[in-house]
Amino acid sequence: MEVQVLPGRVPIIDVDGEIDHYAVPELENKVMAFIEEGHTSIILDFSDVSYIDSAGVALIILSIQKSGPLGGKVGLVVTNKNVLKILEIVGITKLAEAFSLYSSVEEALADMSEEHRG
Amino acid sequence: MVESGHHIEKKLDVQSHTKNLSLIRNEIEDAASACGFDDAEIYQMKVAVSEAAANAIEHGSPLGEKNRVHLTIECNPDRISIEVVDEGVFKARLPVTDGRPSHRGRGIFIMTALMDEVSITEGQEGTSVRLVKLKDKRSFREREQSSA
Repeated sequence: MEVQVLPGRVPIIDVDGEIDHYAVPELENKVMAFIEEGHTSIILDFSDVSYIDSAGVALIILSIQKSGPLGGKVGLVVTNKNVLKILEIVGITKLAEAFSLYSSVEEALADMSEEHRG
Repeated sequence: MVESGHHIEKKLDVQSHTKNLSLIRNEIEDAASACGFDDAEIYQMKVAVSEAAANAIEHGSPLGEKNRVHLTIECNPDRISIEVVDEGVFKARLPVTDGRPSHRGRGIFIMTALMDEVSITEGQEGTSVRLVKLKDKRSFREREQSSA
């Protein structure tokens, strides 16, 4: 996991590899701590994620539940079609509150930075 | 690996730890590929089996890492069947979420969405989850209709 924080920009949390029941506990602690530090809006960059299961889905939902009440939003970037299918099956792609799905980091930054400033 | 005619069977026992989920997924990938499934189907099977194994590890292993998860993979001409068996005691495996959202219900939902058949058998010596994916659904349905 790599975190990019630049002034005036929504922080990007770059995750790669497989997000399964083994990887999630450590990842979840880091993401939750990061939001608690005051980064209420985040971009989860899953462009290089090749695999996700229900634990990874729970991580996304927990992030939304954490950032939403603080007035923030989670932007999720997914490009792998297999990963996208799992997210569609569980209904995450239909969430509209405090969450948006993007197909690139650039798209997420352009959309969320506007809200971030305003 | 036991091979007899059209039927190929493989058995695998792994230590009950989530670090072994990727190993299980690799085994499923190899077996499903050898059985003739395409990439999308193989991915779906990997997710479904990994969910079943994660349930076995997190809810069906009263002794933690001392328990083992037992897998049987069967390749037949029309289907692949994967059975995941844990060593949990029935009464010890009531869902416990300690206030967090439970992955378990979502995991079972994912399994049923990705596979053609999912059956869960709760026994005194453990839970068995049997997952089936049909190889050629269209021709299978046609065969079923013509024999009906």
